[in-house]
Amino acid sequence: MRRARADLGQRIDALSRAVELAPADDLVAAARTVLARSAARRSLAPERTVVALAGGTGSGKSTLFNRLVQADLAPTGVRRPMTSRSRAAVWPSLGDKDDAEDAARLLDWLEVRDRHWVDSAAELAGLVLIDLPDYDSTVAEHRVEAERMAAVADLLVWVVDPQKYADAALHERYLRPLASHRDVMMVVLNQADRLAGSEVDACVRHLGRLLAEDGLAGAPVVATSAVQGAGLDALCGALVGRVRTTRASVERLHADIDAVVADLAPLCGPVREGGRRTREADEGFLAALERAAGVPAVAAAAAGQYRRDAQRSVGWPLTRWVARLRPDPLRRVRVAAARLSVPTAGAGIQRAQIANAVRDLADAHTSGLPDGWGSAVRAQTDRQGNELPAALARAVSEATPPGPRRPRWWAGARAVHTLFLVVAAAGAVWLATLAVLGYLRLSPPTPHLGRLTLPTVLLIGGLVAGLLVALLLRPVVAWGARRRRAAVAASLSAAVRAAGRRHVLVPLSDRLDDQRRFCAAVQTAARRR
Amino acid sequence: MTADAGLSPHVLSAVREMREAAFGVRLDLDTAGAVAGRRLQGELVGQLDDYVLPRLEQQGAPLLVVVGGSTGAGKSTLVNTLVGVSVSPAGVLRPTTRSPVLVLNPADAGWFGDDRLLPGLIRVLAGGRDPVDRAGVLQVTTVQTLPSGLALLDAPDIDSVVESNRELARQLLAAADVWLFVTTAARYADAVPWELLRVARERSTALAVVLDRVPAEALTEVSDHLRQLLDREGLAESELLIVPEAQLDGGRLPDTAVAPVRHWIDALAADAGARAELMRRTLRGAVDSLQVRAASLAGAVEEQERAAGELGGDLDSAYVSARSIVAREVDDGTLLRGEVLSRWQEFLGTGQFMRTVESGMGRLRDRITSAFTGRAPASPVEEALENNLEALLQDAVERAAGAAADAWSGRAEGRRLLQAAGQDLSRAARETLADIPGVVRAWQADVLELVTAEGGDRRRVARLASYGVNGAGSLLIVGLFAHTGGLTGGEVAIAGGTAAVSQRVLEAIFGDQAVRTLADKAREGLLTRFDEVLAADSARFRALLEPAVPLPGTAARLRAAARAVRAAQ
Repeated sequence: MRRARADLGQRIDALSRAVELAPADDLVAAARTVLARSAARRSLAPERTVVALAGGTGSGKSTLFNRLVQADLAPTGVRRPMTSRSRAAVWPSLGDKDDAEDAARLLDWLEVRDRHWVDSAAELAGLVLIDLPDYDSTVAEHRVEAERMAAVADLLVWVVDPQKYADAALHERYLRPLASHRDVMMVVLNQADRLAGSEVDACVRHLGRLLAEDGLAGAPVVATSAVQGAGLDALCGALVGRVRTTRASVERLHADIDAVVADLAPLCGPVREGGRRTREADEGFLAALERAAGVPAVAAAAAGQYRRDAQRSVGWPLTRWVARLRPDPLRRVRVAAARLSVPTAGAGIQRAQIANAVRDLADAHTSGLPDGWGSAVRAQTDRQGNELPAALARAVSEATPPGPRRPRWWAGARAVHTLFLVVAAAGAVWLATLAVLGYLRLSPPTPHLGRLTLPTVLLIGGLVAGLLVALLLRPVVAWGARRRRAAVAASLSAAVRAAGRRHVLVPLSDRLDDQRRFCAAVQTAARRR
Repeated sequence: MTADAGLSPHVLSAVREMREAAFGVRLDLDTAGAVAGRRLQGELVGQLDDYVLPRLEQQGAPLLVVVGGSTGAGKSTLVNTLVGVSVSPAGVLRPTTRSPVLVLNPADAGWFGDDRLLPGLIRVLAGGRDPVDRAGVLQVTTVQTLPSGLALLDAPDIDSVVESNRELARQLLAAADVWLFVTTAARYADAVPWELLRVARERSTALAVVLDRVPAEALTEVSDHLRQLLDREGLAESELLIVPEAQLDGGRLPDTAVAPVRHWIDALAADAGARAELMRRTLRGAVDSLQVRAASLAGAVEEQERAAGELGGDLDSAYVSARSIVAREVDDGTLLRGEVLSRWQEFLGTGQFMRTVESGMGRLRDRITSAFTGRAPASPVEEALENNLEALLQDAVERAAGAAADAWSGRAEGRRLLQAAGQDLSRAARETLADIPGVVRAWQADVLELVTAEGGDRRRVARLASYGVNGAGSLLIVGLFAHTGGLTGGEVAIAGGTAAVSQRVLEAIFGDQAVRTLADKAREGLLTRFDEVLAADSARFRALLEPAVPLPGTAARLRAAARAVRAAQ
C-alpha cells in the first residue's frame, strides 16, 4: 500500500509539472480539475471507500441501497423519479477513534447531507455507500447531482435493469467517456427476477458485449434482484473485496489521471532535438538581424569616415582641401561622433526585416512539433520579436566603436608631410629670392647639387617626396579603413547578436526545453506502477 | 379529398415548393445553430416526403398508427397481442426491433405501395426470402385480425444505443397519423420520451399514450402521476391507456391486459368519421408547423450567411490593413532611408553617377552586362531598394495571413474551417513569398517603361539614354519615394541634396508636373501588383470559405414558401 501511494504521488507530481509547462491553459483545464480533486481526496480519509450507486430512474438503486444497509433509509416507490438527493450510509472503519469526524469531513467535501451511521462494523468496514438520484429523468437537477457525484466517488456501481440496460443515455453519455475507469467501475443488472433464468445469462452476456463496445471490456457485471435478494451476496462480496484493500480512492485517482494523461499525449509528439538545420536557422536569423540593424552600412560608413579623416590628416597637404568638400559619411547615417547608432532604416522597414527573420526562425524550430506546441511557440517567438527593434537600437547605440579614431602614425606622417612641405617652401622662397636678386642683377653664388641648384632640388624634391609619401600611404590607409570596417562590424554585430540571443534565441530554446520536460512529465504521469 | 382536411388545393403545390426549397439548403458552416439546423432540415424534408406530400395527394388511405416508445417498453409484444399473430419478434435483449414492421388488413394492402407514405423504405413481405433485418427496410405483414381502415406500424426504439434505430423511429413518428406512444411504469419520467411528446404537441399530432407493464400495486399512483405530467405538458387531450404487467403466454399478453388498447383500436376502426378527424388534425398540425419550421430553417441559413459574411470580412480587414501598411511606408519615404540613401550617396558621391551621365558609358555597360546575364544589372541603389521592398511586402503578407488566421480562430465556425484545412494557414503560402522578388522586379520594369513612355519626345529620350537605363530607373525610383511623401527638409540636406538632385534632374528632363504624375502612377502600380499578391494569399482562405457559403437566395425562397403555404390555407 505504501508503495502504491508513493506511486500515485509521483504521478500527481509529474502531472502538475506537465500542467505548469503546458503550451496553453485551456488544454490542461481537465488536468487541473483532477489535480485539485486528488489533493482534496487524498487528504480526506483516503483509506475509506466511497461507493456510488448510479443509474436511471426506476432501476432500483434505492431498493438496493436499503438492502445493503439493511434498513429502509431511502424511500422507494413506483412514482418516477423517486430519489432527488444523494444519501449516504457510513460503515465505521476498524479501530480508528477519529473515524466519525474524518468520515463527516469526507461527506462535507462530497456535499452529501443525508447521512446514516451503520452500527455493525462487520466486513464492509470503511465503506461509504451513496445512493444517487437518476441521470435520465425529466428532472435536470437530478442529472447534475448524479454527474457531480460520479466524478468524485471512488467506485461507481452502475445499476441497470432489463428494460434500460441498452439505453443510449447510459452508454453514450456516461460509460464511453469513462472508458479509462474500468477498474473503478461495476455494473449491476438489477430486477433480474423479471427475467427467466436463461434470459438472465443472455442479458448479462449482451450487456458485457455493449460494455466492450464502450471500451469497458472486462468490467464486472453482477445480476441481482434487490426485491428478492438474489445476487446480493455476490455484490456484497465484490464490494467487500474493494473495501478491504482500502485502495479504491487511490485507484479512482489513478483512473482519473489515466484519462487526462491520454488527452495530453497528443501534445507530446516528436521532441525536437537541436540539429544542423536549427543551428543554420539560428545563424541565418542572427545574420538577418545584423542586416536589419544596418551593421554593414554602419561599418562601411565608419570605413569611409576613416578614409576621410586619413585624407585630412595624412593626405598631401596641398590636396587636403578637396577632402573638405566631401560629405561626412557617418553623419549621413546619423552616427554621432563618439557613438554609433542604427542608421534609420525606416522604422517600418526594419520592423519588417526583423519580423521576417523571427518568423523564419520560429518556423524552422517548430516544424514537426505537435499542433498545440507549434502555435504556442510561434506566438511566443513572434511576441518576443516585437521587442527586438528597440533592443537592437539600444544595443547598437551602446556599442563602443573600437580603437583610437586617429592612429598615432598619422601624427608622424603629418610631421613628415609638414617637413617636406617646409623643405619645398624653403626651396620656393630661396628661388624667389634668387629671382628678385637676379632682377636686380645681383647673382650671389648658388650651391649646386649635380646639374641643379640646391633651391630647385629643395622645391621639387619636397613636392615629389610629399606626393610619394602620400602615394605610399594610400594602401596603408586603405588597409586601415578595412580594419576599421571589420572592427566596427565585429563590435556592432557582437552587440546585435547578443541582443538577438537574449531576446529571442534563449527564450525560444527555453520554451523548446519546456516541451521536452512536458513530454517527460507526461510520460512519467502515464506510467502506472 | 383535400377538402376533407379543410386544405385548399394550392396547399399541395406550396408544400412541394417548400420541399424543394428545404432540400436545397446547405448548412456547411459550423455555426452555433448548424447542428440543430441540419437536423431540422432532415426532419422537415423527411416529413414532407414521408408523410405530408403523400397524405395531401391521397387522403383516403388507411389511418397509420405508429407504435413508438422506449426500448424494452413492450411495443412488439403489444402489437403481437393486438393482432394475435407474432408479426414482430419480441425478446429480452435490447433493442429487439431493428427494422419496422407494418401490419395491415389485406384489403388495405394497395394503399402502402412504394410511392406512398415513407417512400424511402423498401417494402419487404414478411416471411419472404429477402433478408428483413437490415437498414432501409419496411416489413409488411397482412393479417385478417386487424380491422380494415387502419394500419399498425411497430417502430424501433427511440432511446437505445443503436443510433440508426433512434433516427428511424423519429422518421416513422413524423409520418404517423396517430402516435400510439408506449412507455412503462419504470420509464414514464425518462427525459428522452418527453422530448418526443413535446414534438407531438408542437405539431398537434394525434396521440394516445400506452402505459405498459404497470405492476398491480402501482396502478393508481403511476397512472395518476403520468396523467398529471401529461396535463402539465399540455397533452391533456391525449388518451391514456393502461396495460398492467402480466405473465406472458407464448410471447403474448393476456387479452384482458390489452383490452383498453384493443377497445381504442376497434372504436377507431368502426368510426370512419373519427379516423378522418384524427387524420385531418395531424395533417393540419403538420402543415401548420411547416411555417415555423421553415422559418427557423431560414433563420439557420441566415445565420450561416451572416457567419460567412463575418469570416469574409475578417479576411478583407486583415488583407486590407496589409495593403495600407505598404501604402503608408511608401508614402512616408521610409523605404529610402538608411541603406538606400547610403547607396545613393555612394552612387553620386563616388562620381559613378556623374561618370554615367557624362560618358554615356552606362548604356554601353548595360548592354554588355545584359548580353551576358540576360538581365539589366542592378545598381546598388536598386538592390538596396529591392531588398527593402521585398522585406516590407513579405512582412505585410505574413501579417495579413497571421491576422486572418487569428480572426478565424476566434470564431467557432472559422476554427472548424481551419481544422478541416489540415494545414497551418497562419503563415503566408510559400508560393506567395517566392513570387515577391519577381513582383518587385516586374514593378521596376513598369517604372522604366513609364519613364520611357513619358519621355516621349526624341530629345528627352536621347538625354535619358545618356544616363543609362539603370541610372534613369534609380533616378526615378528615388525621386518617386522622395516625392510621394517625402523626406523632411533635414533629411534631404543630410542626403547631401541627392534626392533633391535626382528630383531636379528628373524635373529637368520631364518637367515638374510630369514627375508628380509619374510618381503617382509608379506608386499605384506598386500597390496594384501587391494587391495581386494579397489576393493570391487570401485565396487559400477563400477556397475554404466559399464551398461552405449558402447559395444566395435560399433563405428568401424558404420564407416565400412558408408564406405561400400560409396563404394557400
